[in-house]
Amino acid sequence: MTSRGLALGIGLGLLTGLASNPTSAQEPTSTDVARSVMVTGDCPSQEAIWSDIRAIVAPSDLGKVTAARVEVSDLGATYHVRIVGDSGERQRTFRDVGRDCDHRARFAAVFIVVTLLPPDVLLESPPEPPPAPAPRPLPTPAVAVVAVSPAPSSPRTKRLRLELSALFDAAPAVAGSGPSTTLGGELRGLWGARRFVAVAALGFEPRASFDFGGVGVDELRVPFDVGAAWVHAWNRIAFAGEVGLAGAVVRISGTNTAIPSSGTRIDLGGRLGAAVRFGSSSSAVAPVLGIHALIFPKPYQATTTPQGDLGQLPALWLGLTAGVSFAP
Amino acid sequence: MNRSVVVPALALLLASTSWGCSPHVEVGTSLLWFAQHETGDFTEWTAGSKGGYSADTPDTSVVISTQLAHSGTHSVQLANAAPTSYETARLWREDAFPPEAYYSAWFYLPRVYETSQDWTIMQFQVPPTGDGGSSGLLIDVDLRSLASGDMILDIYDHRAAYLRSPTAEPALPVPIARWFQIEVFYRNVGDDTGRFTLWLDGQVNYDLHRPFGLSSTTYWSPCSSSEGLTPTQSDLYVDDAAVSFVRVGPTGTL
Repeated sequence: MTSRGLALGIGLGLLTGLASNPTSAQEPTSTDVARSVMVTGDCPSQEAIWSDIRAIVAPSDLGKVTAARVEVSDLGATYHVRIVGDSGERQRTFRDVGRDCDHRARFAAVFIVVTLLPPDVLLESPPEPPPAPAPRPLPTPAVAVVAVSPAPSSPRTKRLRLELSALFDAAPAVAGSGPSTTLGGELRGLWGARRFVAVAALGFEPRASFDFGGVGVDELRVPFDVGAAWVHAWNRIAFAGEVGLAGAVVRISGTNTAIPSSGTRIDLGGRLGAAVRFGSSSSAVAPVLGIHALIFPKPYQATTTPQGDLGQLPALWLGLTAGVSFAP
Repeated sequence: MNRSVVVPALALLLASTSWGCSPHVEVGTSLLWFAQHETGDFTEWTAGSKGGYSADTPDTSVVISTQLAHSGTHSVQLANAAPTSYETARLWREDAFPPEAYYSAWFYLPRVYETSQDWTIMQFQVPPTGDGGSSGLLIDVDLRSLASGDMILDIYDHRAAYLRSPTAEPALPVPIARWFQIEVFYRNVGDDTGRFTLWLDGQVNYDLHRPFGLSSTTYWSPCSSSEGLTPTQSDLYVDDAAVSFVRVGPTGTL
């Protein structure tokens, strides 16, 4: 039998047996419960877990639960239960993308009871229980245990995440370059499961327009970058600081010269970026916001005949990204 | 960091060290036509059968020269030794140029000459009208000697209503033994907005407002048309000629 099947079976038995066993033993106080069952996050809540434990454990045995230390953590699409008792430590991470908090509470309660109450205690339950109210539905098969480890560990992070974002870049008027803004999009990939991950991105910006003393110049940009990111994740938010080499294939065209022409070049430089992803690290889809700076130390000069050099294309771009991050 | 990152990064670094040979990107040109003579012949003038070169015999010649050049190594030498009657050595382009265009060329006078008649070095003409009498002469840009020995530019409009324009005040002496640029803005329209503005080395020398528009075709000719110069044998060099939508100016590039 799998652990999930065992839990379900025992839970049902307890529901139909122990819950109705009258006893005169004193129940733990709310202070005992608060000290024993500690919940981080709001799904499931401590109250719901304890209510479900009380529903399936005889009052005389509730003290065995509060004698242990239970930690329940809401991790977004998963939740983690850690139990430290006399017999050692056990922990589970359960997946529940739908965030059904009642189901989570019930499943956590069953796991806690199964862990802390030995089978012989369970076997003492009356073999012929009186009819009981229909049990509340248990977690559906969709709920699955995604990680089991006796050693402390953090929730597993997907190795590859992709970020599809709208891209806004602005070039300030510095160092002889004309100001401009441009809109586009980019696909960014982050590869790795540790603090430092590899990053690569490819974007497209169809048009940045410049005016050099009345001569119009358009720039089509295909920016790209490769680098590394330092990632730090909290429960519901992750921060990434990025640094890398940046480039852009640019097609530069005159727009109002008598006889326009175009040239294609590659800008090469560096990129600094920061991004914030909302949602847990294992979330399938999460919004992401970012800022970045692109520095090109050798910008190109736009020229025309007979005027000669018109001005310098930007050496500095400052940009924003907004999009979604997903783990394929 | 794994190889999948390091390898592309190194490739980019390598590319960045070899890139940048051309920090300029040409985004267009406003030149309609130009001639730099670096081909060593007159093909730029004769291109499209819209121009050419000619020299009256026996005293004038027009040749490609490597003695002097404004840019590169070649220019055109217009030599003229006509003693008592006008003879001309010329380069010319004839086309339906836009109603507003700039016509420019660099000239070089190796020494001071004394003129007894106008020495025409640039002409604007219209095609012969076919009425049997019109030569098509319209505007001449002439060199003329002053008593001080300086040479200045004159404008002569062949139409009876205009003829010689008053000498510019102050007069701008033409440089000797160095390249100088003459550039003309010619608005070829038939109303009072017609215009003929001449810059000498970027400085306005004449600015004439009068109707033109006699023909949509413009005949433009840097030339050496003279008689009786002292000394008789004259040399005038021409280089970097252009017709353009915008001013070339002394700093412009062809």
